[in-house]
Amino acid sequence: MATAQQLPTPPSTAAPDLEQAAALSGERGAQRAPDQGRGAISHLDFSRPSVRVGYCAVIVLLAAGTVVMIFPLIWMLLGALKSANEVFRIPPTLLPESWHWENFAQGWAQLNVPRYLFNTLKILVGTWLMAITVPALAAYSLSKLRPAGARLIQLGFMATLMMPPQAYLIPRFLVLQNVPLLHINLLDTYWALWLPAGVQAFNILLLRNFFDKIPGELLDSARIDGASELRIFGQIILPLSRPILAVLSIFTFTAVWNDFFWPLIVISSQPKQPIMVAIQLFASGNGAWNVVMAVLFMATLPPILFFLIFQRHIIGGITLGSVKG
Amino acid sequence: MGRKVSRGQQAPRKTETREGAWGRFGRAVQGQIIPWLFLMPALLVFATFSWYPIILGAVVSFQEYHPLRPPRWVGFENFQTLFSDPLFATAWGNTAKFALLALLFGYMVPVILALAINEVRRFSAFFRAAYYLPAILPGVVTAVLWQWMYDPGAGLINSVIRLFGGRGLPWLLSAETVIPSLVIMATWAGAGATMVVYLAALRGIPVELYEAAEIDGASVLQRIRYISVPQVLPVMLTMLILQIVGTIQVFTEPYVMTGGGPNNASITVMLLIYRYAFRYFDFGVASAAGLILFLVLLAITIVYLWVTRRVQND
Repeated sequence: MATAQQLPTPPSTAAPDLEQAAALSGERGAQRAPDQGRGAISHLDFSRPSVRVGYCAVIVLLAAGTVVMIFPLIWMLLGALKSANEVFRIPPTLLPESWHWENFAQGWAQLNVPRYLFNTLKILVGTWLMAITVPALAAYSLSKLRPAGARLIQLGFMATLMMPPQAYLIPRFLVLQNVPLLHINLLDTYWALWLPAGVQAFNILLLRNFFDKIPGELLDSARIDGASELRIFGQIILPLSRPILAVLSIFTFTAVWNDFFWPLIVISSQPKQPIMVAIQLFASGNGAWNVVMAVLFMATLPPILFFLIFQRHIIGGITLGSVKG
Repeated sequence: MGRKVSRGQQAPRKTETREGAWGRFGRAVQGQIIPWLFLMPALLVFATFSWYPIILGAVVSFQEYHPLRPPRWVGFENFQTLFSDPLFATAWGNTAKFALLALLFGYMVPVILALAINEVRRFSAFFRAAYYLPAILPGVVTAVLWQWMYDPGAGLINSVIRLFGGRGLPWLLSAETVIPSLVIMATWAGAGATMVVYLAALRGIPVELYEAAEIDGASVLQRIRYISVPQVLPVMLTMLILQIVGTIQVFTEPYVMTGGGPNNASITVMLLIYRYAFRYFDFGVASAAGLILFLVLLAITIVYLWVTRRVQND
């Protein structure tokens, strides 16, 4: 955080959060002011015209690429504001002739957004509880209690990381249709989304690595004071693990919000479906692109806001997942 | 003799020797109960939704399995059904085409972006966020948005092409262009997330390395070639396998945008499995197709592990 303040003040286009992210990944050698956050090019190189021309060319190309990346999103918003006729016009207009903000209200009502939002929220709460609690309990046991056979169990958990999720799509569906031993059908209930959410080998791995760094003496002194393991877990381990729990919560939110394939398969009755499945159905049976774009835009806002608020965690988490995992 | 040794070991802890063997055993078991209780929820969900389904998937592949009917062993009949279905070959052909085109178009894009953005001094945070933005969009949103942009008439892409005097393409509506269209969209949507990983690898390079090379008279391009690129190469290997494994399992985009059409030109293996299971309710054949998919992915992963080991040994 301190280095963020020492960075030369960049133009106002970059939000303060973005800079902190830059500082986070680029914080080193704060005393080397002219070459702050440098790559291969040093400030001396910029005295050479060839380097300067090449650098400018790269910036121009990157800026052009930025347009390609961002413009579809702007196009989505512009389309959402056009009238039903204008959205089909060839060639299309860039800016709407008249701004139809009512498209948002229309999409909101036609799709019944509140219902599906509430469904997604219900799914999110249960999924979050399963995807955090179950791995945390297991990771605590593997890290601090170390039962006999812990290594074998850990291997069993980690082996599932090698399995592509789509490979056990069908058998998992069949298991939910007729749960072994209990012989109940969980399909078309949220249990079909909640319960499998506990299978998170990667979360176990991250939590275990985190718990390993918590000193054992802390727990021993609590044990001497007569605290039960569950109490140690709830009152010492979990509060200390807030940073990693935050990262995992963010990922869970994004995954649930974006999830499409699995809910499409296991939740067959339409009123129970989460927002993404509902949007796909709404868009496929709807010719009014302006209203569809309004709905898409609304569905995009939460992840974008979420990203802007938590981007340090998210970007850190991606690299956590792919480089070290 | 065994007694002597054990007495020698236990001597300082008198209370324990007095308990006797049963007491010690009991305490050991007691010590195990709480750790296993903590593991129990995870063991239950892993067993029910991961370990058991893996076995079940293999078993059902050799059964006739329809809902509401008891399963019946049929040997290799499901596989025969698959191999005699012309769509199975089409689906694998399309999936391979998708994976190869995605490698050809998309694989180098994040590497180049990361190498370029790593050099940018002032707007680097803005560029990074801008290129990452499409990766935040939910898959369904991306697919529907591009479906509209690919519209041959009023769509954005053909309009831009016409603006520059071109004639435009049929995109999703023609068998020749449908898979390249999906690949372009997937590259747009996925490049940012991969780029962030490469950037993290590049940010790990100590500045001293560049400085030393500069003093030795290495040009900027040489510094990138011999310092930056070697840093991302191992990550590129990982990303290669992740991309292949990911693209082979592609489902949402063709499901939402084309439904496998036109004329099955974009049906993928996952889409075919979906059809067998949830349209024809033939879970046996669907599982058999899933098993083949799994074996292919497993083979790719094993090749990858073998290659990385050889690369690391060199």
